[in-house]
Amino acid sequence: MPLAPPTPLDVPPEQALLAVDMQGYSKIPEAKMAPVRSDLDDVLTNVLAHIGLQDPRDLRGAFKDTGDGAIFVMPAKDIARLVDPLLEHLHAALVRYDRERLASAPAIRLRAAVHVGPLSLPDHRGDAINEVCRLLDSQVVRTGLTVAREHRSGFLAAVVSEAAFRRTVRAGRTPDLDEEHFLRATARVDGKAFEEPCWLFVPQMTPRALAPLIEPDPPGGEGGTAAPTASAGSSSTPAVFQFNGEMTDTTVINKVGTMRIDRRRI
Amino acid sequence: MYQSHLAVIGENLWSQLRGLAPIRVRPARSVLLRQGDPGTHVVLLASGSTLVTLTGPNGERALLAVRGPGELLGELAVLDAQPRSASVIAAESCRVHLIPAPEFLSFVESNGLLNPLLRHAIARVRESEAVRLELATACVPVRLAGALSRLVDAASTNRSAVSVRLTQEELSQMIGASRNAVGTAIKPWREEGWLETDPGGGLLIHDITSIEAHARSTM
Repeated sequence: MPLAPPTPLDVPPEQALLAVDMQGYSKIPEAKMAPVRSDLDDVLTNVLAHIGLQDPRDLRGAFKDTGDGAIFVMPAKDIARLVDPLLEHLHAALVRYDRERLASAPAIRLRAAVHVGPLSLPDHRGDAINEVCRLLDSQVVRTGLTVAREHRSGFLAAVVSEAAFRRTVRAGRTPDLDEEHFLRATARVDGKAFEEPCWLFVPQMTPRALAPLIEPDPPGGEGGTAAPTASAGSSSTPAVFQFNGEMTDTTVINKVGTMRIDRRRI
Repeated sequence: MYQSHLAVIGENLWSQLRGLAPIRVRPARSVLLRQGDPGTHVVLLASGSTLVTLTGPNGERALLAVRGPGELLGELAVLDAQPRSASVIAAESCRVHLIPAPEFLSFVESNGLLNPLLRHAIARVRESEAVRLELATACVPVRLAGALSRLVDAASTNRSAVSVRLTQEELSQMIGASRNAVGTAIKPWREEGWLETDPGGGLLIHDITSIEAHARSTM
């Protein structure tokens, strides 16, 4: 039988994705932006070279400058190294940078997101690129960075997608990191219909120390399949309803404080 | 007498070396090399000037040297595969070539450059020993005068005044002193007219010899 010709329904090859974002970059005076941006690029270049990954900036369509950060698209096989040793090395490099920068230069604190998924190159067609941006934007990693800064004078908080986590840490491909180093959490973005399980990593902080400082998951909050979490008696926190199917009966008694609309098909 | 790398290895090899990596622009005040980083590449400085600083275990700092065009930076960490021993910060906009460690090492190997590079490195170590001693023992005026003298030497202009484009806060960080201590040290020099503070935050040095002599006399 002849092979089927390529169609738009074919799944593009998987790519490993790393996205980073500098905290407070837009608040830096314009005159100081260029050196800080150059310093961030230099730190990333050095870390990639040190762990033996090809710098995607040398390849067409594999690098996207987002102004206050960047997205790197790497071969799928590199996903394990993007988690370990990259995250620890990146943090160590940021610590050294902070010691050596001029006092007049602002500190560089980063959120990072690691993900893997199908993506066509160089046009970036595929959900994976949006997903990594949502992960990077999620409240859990934002809070993670605040916690890192306040509790460990840290410079990095990273979120690893469930898919990336399964293929790397869970599969035993990360020599120095295992499941105990990550906090299982749910990534949500304010005002966006996005809710995905994820794994939070803050260098030098155990999940046990992190957990009470990160907004806890709603009970059973496993990727949007949670039951309504209205708890009787606690009038201070409004009930959160999640409707996971088609709503056929549109009458709701009383008032709904927060509504999360999850458009994924179940 | 100190010789640049360009002078040591010659124009021909220098331009071959430059050809190993594309040219990049690094803005003033960006950190070109971080002390403690692994030696992943060598910086070839094509234009601009740079501050080489040493940070001690307790955060104390010294301006080891100022390096200009024709210098290789960070080559020692590549040659001995040890972490970088100092940091390098762009004092002005710099044009650089970042040569990856493996390419640099094979270039050194195939052109027999190891000996000249090591001799050059030893000269630099001797130069920096004096600065290390100064960092450990000298008072703020002497450390500051030393740092200003290295900045003036590197500027190598024939003009009567040399402009140092570092704020007093940055200078105090460079020599591991408080900003107040730097202000106090500068005051008598300004009153004598040996330097001027410029409104942009920098200094204009007129007479570095008198500044150094005065600083030593206060010890």
